[in-house]
Amino acid sequence: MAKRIILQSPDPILSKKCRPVEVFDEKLHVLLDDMRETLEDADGAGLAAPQVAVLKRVCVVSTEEGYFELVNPELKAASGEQTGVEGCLSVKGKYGTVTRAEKITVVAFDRYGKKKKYKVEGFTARAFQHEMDHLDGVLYTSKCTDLKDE
Amino acid sequence: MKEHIRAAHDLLVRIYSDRTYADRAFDGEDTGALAARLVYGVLERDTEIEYILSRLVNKRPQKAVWILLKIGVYALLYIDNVPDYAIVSECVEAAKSMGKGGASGFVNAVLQSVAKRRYTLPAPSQPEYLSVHYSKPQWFIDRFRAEYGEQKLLAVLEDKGTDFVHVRVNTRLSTQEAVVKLLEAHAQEYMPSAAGGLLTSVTPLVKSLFREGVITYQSPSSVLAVKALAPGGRTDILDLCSAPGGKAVYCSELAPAATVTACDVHPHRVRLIKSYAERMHADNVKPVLSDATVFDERWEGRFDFVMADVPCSCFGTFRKHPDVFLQRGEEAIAKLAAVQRAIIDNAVRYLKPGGVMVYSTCTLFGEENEDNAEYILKKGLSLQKMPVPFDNDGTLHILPKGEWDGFFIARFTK
Repeated sequence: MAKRIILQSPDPILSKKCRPVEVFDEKLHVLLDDMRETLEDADGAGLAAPQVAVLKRVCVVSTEEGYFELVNPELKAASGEQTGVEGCLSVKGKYGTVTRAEKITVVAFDRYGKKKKYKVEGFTARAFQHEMDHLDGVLYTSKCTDLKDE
Repeated sequence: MKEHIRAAHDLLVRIYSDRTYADRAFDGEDTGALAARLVYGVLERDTEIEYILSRLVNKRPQKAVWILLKIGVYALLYIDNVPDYAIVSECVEAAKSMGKGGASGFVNAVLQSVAKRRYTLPAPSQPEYLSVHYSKPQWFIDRFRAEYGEQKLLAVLEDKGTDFVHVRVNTRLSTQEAVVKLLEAHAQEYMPSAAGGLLTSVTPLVKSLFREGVITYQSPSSVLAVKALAPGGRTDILDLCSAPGGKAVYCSELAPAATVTACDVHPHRVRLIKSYAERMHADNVKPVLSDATVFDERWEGRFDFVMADVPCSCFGTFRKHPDVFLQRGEEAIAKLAAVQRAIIDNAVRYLKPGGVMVYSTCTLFGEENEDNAEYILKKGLSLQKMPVPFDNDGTLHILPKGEWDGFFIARFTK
């Protein structure tokens, strides 16, 4: 396992759309392991593959509700609304307010290629949405109106 | 060491007998570092090794034994951390283990003579000195001297090349500044290149960026050929001999609104273009199976830009491909020049009036380069200055030095 370097905005890679994972092999497992190590080291709530310069639809989320590995995640349903403050490991020293869905249903594969359904809400739902945005090249800074320095 | 000798022997037999290209012989083989060093070493020093063996052996043995002797000679002369007696005995054991036990006495005797240096190499005053000392065929030395003179010949023979790889940043996904930042964050050595790319080493980071299509390995000469074409706009671009696709993909980046038709004559090579373009997110590259020497009337007068990076004798790449002199000799030059002219005939017809064509090779001699540029001029095209960071009047000749392969580029308008 190895900690990877987190790209910083405005690195152009952060604004690219990622490609689906097609092979669930050792390389994917190494990537997921590295991402976990990188996330824990940075003490963040989530990390998406493009943040470590890998253009694959892979992200990890770590909240009080657990640790999630999402491969090719898709948003199946969303309801409600929550407004709160977000930051991002790729936008150091900033934070801003973003409005997102309160409850969501996401279907994603695990690292072995098994399909799983996640029904999450609150902060975990926010983290899921933030990380899944990364996979389409979207940073929270484009969704908030009040980006501030820490 | 015996296993490494055996592994190197297997690969060299394929290269010498089946004329498999060295880099293809290695493809998919999990070869150890020592075996790889033996293979490339024997190929690089082939002329010298042949010279030494011919001093010591009256009658050439069968090929398998001859190749084993070559490995032994290379190891005795160039591998310093194994004592000579061990190299000799490992080669003898290798001979036995490959069913050539009958020749083990012969292998032992010849290699003992090499270890004791019972031969003399040509002195600097002798005509074959350069050929043996720098291990290049005599015809190559003679022809190079005739075309470029003694000074350039020595400069090229003395040049040590580079251990770095040359990479180019995919402008669709990133920028050179962003990639440099990433390399610096990883404390990785790099150097900007004259061609506008980066010279660096193959590390896990570089491999990962390559897999993601953020960077690609591309030789500086290949980068320069595309810069010489300088395609742009909503145009039609044709790359006639495209595989593996590096130039076509770079064209597609410089001209994202264009359509790049990328041809090759072999289906498996067309697949290479396809996967290269996919890796690099180059959606406007269309790989097509087509023989550049056969005229296709549908393409007449259709293209704004034509890249004719023609099949050539590749002698400019002898450092990267030391087996190039085994694959072909001097006679290949005339044969390939004829193929190149057939391709030029079609390339010129495919070009729109006012269109731009680049002719390029990775070889060194006039017959495939300046002579063919003359041939294109006779067809009514004219030379045009190239937008590259080197002084030129429409043609550019680079000799194999440093990170550069030897190559020739010329830009024409119709």
